Amino acid sequence: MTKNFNVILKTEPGLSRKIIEEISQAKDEPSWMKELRVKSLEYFMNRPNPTFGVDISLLDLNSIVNYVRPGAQNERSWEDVPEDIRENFEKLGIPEAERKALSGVGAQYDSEVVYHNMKESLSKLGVVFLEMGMAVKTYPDLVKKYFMKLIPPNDHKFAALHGAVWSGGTFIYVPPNVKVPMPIQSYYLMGSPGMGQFEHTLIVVDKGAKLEFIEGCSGQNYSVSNMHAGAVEIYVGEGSTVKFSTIENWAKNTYNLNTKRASVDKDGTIIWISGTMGSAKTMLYPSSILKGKGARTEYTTITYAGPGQHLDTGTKVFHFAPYTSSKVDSRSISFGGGYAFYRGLVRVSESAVHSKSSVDCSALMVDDISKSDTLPIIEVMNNESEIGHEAYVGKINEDQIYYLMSRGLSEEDARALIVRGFLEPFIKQLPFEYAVEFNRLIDMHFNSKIG
Amino acid sequence: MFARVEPKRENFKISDDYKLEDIIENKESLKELFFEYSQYDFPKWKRLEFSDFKKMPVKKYIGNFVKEGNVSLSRDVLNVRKYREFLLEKFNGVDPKFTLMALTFFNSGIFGDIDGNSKITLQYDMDKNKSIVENSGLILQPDSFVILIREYRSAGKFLNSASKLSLRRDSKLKIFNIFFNSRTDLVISSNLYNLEENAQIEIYDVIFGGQKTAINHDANLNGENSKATFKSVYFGRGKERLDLRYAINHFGEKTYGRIESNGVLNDESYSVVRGNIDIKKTAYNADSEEKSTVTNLSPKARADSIPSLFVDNSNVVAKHGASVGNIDENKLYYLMSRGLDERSAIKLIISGIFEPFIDEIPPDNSELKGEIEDAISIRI
Repeated sequence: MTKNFNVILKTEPGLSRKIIEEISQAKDEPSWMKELRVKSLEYFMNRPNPTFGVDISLLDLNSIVNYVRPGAQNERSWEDVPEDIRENFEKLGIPEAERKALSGVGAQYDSEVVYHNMKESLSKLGVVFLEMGMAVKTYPDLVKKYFMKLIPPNDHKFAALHGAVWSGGTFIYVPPNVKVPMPIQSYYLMGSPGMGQFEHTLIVVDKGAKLEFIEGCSGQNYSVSNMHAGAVEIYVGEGSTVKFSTIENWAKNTYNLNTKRASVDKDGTIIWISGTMGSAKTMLYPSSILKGKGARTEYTTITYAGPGQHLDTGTKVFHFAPYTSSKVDSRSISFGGGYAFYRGLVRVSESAVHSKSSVDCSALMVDDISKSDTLPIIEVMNNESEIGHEAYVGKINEDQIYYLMSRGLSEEDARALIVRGFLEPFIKQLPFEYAVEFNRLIDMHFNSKIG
Repeated sequence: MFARVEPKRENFKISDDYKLEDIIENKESLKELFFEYSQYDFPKWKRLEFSDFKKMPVKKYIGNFVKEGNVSLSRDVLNVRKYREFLLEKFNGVDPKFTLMALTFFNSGIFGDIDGNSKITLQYDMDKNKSIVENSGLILQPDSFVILIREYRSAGKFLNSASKLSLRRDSKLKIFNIFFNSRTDLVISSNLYNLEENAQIEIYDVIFGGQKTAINHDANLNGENSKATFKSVYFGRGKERLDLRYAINHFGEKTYGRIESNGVLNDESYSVVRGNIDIKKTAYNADSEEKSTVTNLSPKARADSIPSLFVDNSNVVAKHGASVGNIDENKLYYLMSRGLDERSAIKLIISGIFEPFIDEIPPDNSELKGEIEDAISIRI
């Protein structure tokens, strides 16, 4: 589907201090960033693999190329982007979407952001939307204050790897009381075989501000494994709201070992909309750290595991302050031998009195060869909170199929319709073009012709 | 199919472990098990904060723990080959180290191969016996019905119990395990159930202490239409830590599972409730649910709930729910407005949580009901 193109700088496969320093030098980074990379590499070398989740024993990290810079500078206008890269993105509908509805678009092919634009009006409001590497140079103090503070490099093995080799990504700063009127979008695409993508997204939303961010990810299939270990850090200021939507549709040979975390100040809100459908194996648990009084989090997530996919996803909420609340609606579908695993954690600390949490997770199994597991952990350390959890795993109701067929639908159409109904709360939250793409995907998987 | 990565068992060594000469009787027939036992180190448990074990001497049981029922003592049937094989069969339980310990060094326990109806009452006295290591086994022949009441009482130091229950077709087993041993340092109980078609178990755990308690029940629903119901109530206080695990493995078609736990926590106590429902590929039309509820009376108590559903078959219904909350203020207010003081009102509400369990206890064990009421009262 996508085309190959000329790659300018490519580090030797594998990892060493030399490679890390090379990356840092090529990027012309300040010394603190180089130190962070070197330190992270040390953590990475010393950390064991996670003792839960997907089997990553076949992932050969040494053969994954960590830094690939495509043959393009960071362009301002879509026309300046090299044609072959542009073609790949055109297929995803990015420029068109940008013209229509979005405040800004960043598109990342392999490791570097190739295209970056932002509506002028937003710059006037003081909103910063930059490629991450550029932000390190342009706003060194601001970046240094937040970069990998929420996800410290020694948090786990793949956070450490990310810290060592991160490249590209998005930096957004929204000043106090600025309400960004339209969503900002980044799109990540992996184009080279056997490579790793390690983009870093850092979002800082100041007091009373509002932001909606959309992240799309995909890649093409090669016989060699690819790897994605990105990091997303979101700082939600006092009274502000951030809505973070993701569609991950990595190629089916990708190991997606990703970390996302938000810290929420007093009366702030983080809303996660998260769809995982690509990759061979995924481990992803977006976390909300509710540290200010009255902070809130909401999740609407779906995991869509098809043939050859083992997707281990979940949500983590830490209630650290009084009157915090969380609401989780997590759904998964497994079909064609896919394996969906929901792993959840709600921790309510001693000081988080009067907190509320409700977690709902449901799994729909479409056939007999698929698998669906749920493991939601609740830890409550005070006696003045209300915590509830419910989960359900079940099959497609044959009565419903029968009913729909009696109304003239084929069995495939009926199944697709039920699956779509199950995913409705999620699809409803998606931007229009994603919703259309998603519906198409379901139809394709269930051989349905309606939609 | 895909492999799920699971945390590794963490362990620790102790310098003074049980030795061959610590086996009370039948050393010869237990030699092999002992060898296996000595291959294992002790498990380390994070949530229970268990990382050290001091060997407690296990002596011959003083007194008689069989109060009622036509059963043999486990030690007496070790010379009958087929029973020996059954009693010494290994299983995981809470942890293989403790289960093997119970199978090898036991100083108590019963065995029964039961036809027809039977009621068995066991009362373990932990005042006279500081360490109780139990190895029990029951085989329920087709169409039989057994009620087993097991009471563990008083301080003691160490309780380690392993039980195997084998249910032939159409048999039914009801067990009440009642733990009144708040001062016991370590309480371990491992239970394995294997059910043939139409067999049923109903298991009740009523738990007041020990200081560290780990209880595990594993039910294998092998036969079509077999049923397992687990119900537990517990009341933690002081610094008691409690880790309960109920697992139902559905193999047979139309199998049915229910796990229901109700807990009350006071002071700095800490409970962990794990419910594992595992529905295998063969278990068409299985129906399984788990539910855990905790009422937390103290700002320093902690309640963890770890329910898991593993589902390999799409023709099933599997659900779980969990909730943690405080005593309902409205109820409390209402009762106090009727003239009750706060303590009595709380007691009444908590008794209400225990009541459905107490009601199930057979009428001729009514003194037990009174004891449970008293235990609740002491803990508020």
